[in-house]
Amino acid sequence: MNDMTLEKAATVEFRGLRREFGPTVALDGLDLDVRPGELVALLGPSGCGKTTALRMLAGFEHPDSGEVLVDGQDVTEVPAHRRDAGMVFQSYSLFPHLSAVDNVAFGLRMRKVRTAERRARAAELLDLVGLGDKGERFPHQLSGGQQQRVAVARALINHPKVLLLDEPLGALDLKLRRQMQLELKRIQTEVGITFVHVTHDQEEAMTMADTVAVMNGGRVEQLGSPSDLYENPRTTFVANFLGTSNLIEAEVDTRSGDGIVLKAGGGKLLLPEARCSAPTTTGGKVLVGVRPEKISLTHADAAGDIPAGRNRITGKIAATSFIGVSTQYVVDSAVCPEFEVYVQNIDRDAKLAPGAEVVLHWNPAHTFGLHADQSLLAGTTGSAGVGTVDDEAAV
Amino acid sequence: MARLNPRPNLWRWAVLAFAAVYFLVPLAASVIFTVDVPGQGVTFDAYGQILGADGFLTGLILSLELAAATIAVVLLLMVPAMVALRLGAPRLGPVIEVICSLPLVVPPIAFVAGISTVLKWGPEYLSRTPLFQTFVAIQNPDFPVVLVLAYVVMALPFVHRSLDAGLRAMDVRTLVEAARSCGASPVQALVTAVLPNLRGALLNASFLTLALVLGEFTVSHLLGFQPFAVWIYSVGGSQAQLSVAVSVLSLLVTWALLLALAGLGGRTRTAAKG
Amino acid sequence: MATATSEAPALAPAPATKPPRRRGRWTPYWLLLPGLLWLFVFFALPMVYQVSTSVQTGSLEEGYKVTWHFATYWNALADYWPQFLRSVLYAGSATVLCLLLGYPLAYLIAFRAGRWRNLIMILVIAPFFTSFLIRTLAWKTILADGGPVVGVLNSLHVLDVTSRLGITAGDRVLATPLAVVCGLTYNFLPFMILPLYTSLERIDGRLHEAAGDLYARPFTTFRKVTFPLSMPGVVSGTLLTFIPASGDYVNADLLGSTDTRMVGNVIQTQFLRILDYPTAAALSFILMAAILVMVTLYIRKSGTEDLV
Repeated sequence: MNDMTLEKAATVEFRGLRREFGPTVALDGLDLDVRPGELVALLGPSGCGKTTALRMLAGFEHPDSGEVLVDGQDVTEVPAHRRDAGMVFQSYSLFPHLSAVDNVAFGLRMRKVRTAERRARAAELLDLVGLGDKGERFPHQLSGGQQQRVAVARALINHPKVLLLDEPLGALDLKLRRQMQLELKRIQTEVGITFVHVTHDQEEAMTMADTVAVMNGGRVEQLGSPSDLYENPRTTFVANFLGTSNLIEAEVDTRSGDGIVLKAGGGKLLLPEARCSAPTTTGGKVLVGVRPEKISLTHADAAGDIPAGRNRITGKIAATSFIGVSTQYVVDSAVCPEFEVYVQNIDRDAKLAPGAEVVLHWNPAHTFGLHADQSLLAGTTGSAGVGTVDDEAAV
Repeated sequence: MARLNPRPNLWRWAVLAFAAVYFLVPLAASVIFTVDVPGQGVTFDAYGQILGADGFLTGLILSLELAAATIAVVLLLMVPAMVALRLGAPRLGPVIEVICSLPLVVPPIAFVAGISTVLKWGPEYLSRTPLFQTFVAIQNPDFPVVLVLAYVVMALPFVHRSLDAGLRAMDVRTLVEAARSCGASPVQALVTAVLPNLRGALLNASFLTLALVLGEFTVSHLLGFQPFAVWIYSVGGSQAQLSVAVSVLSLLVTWALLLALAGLGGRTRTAAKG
Repeated sequence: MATATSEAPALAPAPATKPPRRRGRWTPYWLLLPGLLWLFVFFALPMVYQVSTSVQTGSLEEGYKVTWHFATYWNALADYWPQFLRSVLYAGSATVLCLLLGYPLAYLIAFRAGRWRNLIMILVIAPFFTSFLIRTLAWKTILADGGPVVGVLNSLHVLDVTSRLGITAGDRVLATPLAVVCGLTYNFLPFMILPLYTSLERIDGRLHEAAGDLYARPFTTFRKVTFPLSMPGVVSGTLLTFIPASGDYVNADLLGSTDTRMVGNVIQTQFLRILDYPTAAALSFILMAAILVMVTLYIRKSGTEDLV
């Protein structure tokens, strides 16, 4: 594998890609820079344009306008077979009439490499994906996971500058998917080339990617490391699509030091200035968000025990569900109808049952602020996609 | 429930028996006719005469040549078009299906009537143009190109159906894209990734066309050419036993071919199953 | 490269100046063109030309001219209406017989044959792969005068009944309508069974079980579930049988007599013996038109779009 080192890694740039399919806008001026050797995930709901973008990088689609650059070179007009990009498809798409090793060697056959040499190199790559002993098997004799490994090896044979993965694990079951996520990450570290990975599974994106590009309505909504995106979402779409967020409509009241005091319902909430992506003029509206696992739950009777300086909201437990490591509570409060709270099952409080009056409280540092001019429901199941383009355009 | 069981079994046997009768009785009757000469008992003379019979070989070879040409032309016309259609304009599929089925709606006799009128009257208007030579050339009795033209039209519905079924059974788009991302040009992708997986359908289409051309009678007879089927017909008048003997022999050969093909197709199907 | 704003590719690696999408988009149509042209030139044009021939007058010696002589049609109909009627009658009977024989066969192959399925299918389809003529000649032998089949039918007095019905003559089967219909049925049975089998095979076996739970009686299940689901097969099977059968002339020629001549025989004679091309063209045009009308009505009535 010595010939597959970082020197092969390339940058990928999308410049203002636009593509319409009839009345549908698949890509609405997509811009994205991928650093060499990076594993970037294009994450988004179906219809957000992530697959179209990937297919443009592969050369299977042509943009109406804009360009695709690989290693600084414009490849927009280069036909698919002359691009240095390997592709792994969701449906494996191995050639049914060829054995695993012949599948892997296919790319070399197209380059007229001699049979002996190409079989040797294919065997080498099969070793890399852990299938060294299954080279003579035909696709139908391999399991889904094994087929996908062969597909990865096949895509790597011609030393591509970029490997493209189109929902590569979508057809696998959960356990196998977890295993393959780590496997793909290992292969990427080993070959060191740039990976562009399309997925709608936020967990998969967070596990594997160095950088995640959350896509919505044909453009990148937010780009960043998984933890950055999770902790500091800048739009309600990102806040809702990556994990769960509780969003509260609030009004800017005053400023105190490095924080902003907000009025929500009857109470006051503190928001660190640095974590607010919206303008904060006094009297202006802001959406306040907090992740469910950051919140503690205390029965109203014990409200006095809550340390000072924490953000508080009062409410009433509507439902609870016990899921092993944690318990999930749904709390109705005046500021937010269905507040979600995840509490680790360390010491379970029997009084926290449906109907109980409770106080929700959290460290103000975990609060984030978003522009009020967008849908609270963007990025939640059922409201994703093109319909939210107008909402997001204001951000 | 035990009461109900014997009935389906009975039915199954009845149907099996019917299929066997349907298949065997005409064959048996033909065989008996060829070997049983009234007053002489059983003799295989009729079979012995086949090879030496006047016109047998020329007729058979002509039919095989026509079949080969028809298969080549119809596949060349249809395979790239069907693959491209599936990849580039799948919504056109039903329209093309209807168009390709049109020759089925026209009885061969009406079709040949049309061709024949063109052949008869075309030269009259074109007698002073080079096209006239073309009209003469395509009616050369040694190799009547006009029959290939007609047979391609007649084979179209069957070839379309078997190619369509073959293409439906696989994900052409992903196969082509996979091949292209491995560095194959569009033509290479067709040849190295799609065609090998279409082998069953191609064989099917070729065999259907072969059967159609070998058995075709109406068009060649009315246009006055003498391939295999017409030869059998003309021999039937004078040497009935000989013509039936040839029939029996060609039946057996075709069925052997068919069984071999089914065996081959069965193997590829089991190999292709996941 | 960060300032890539120009539309033109800086390095222009593509050989063509046109964007590939535009090129690719038209590829299927270009590739379809030869086939469509072929159909147009060698199928549609002869058909059109035939129509023009049918309204020409003249003679073989002096040549023919288009004179819009529609009387050819009336004369053809007046002279040959019995043959037309016979064609429809024989082809219709053969189609009904094919359906009656073919449906149970296709049904049992699809649902009951188990691992014999492919073998039986081959047995049934095999005759289709052999010359039409050869199959018909075989029937000439089977139904031969004094042959075993005729002998059995005679001794069972079946032929007395059929003679009285007018479909056989005396103690002969050959050269009667019965023989022609038998030949047609035999020859076109595969055309019936194939589409029937295809549509029956597609029916999910679980539907039968579900229907069995609901209706309990097998016949009700068949009537309410299986048969409606197999309608596309029935329609295309009957069409694929009726259309070629109505234009057939080989069966009537080999198995029939002058009293069983069908329209195909007339057309053939006009072409090969009498050389009256306008009449032949008019007859085949009438035949096609009649088929087209019947097929359209039939498809309308059976409510399916599938032709094949």
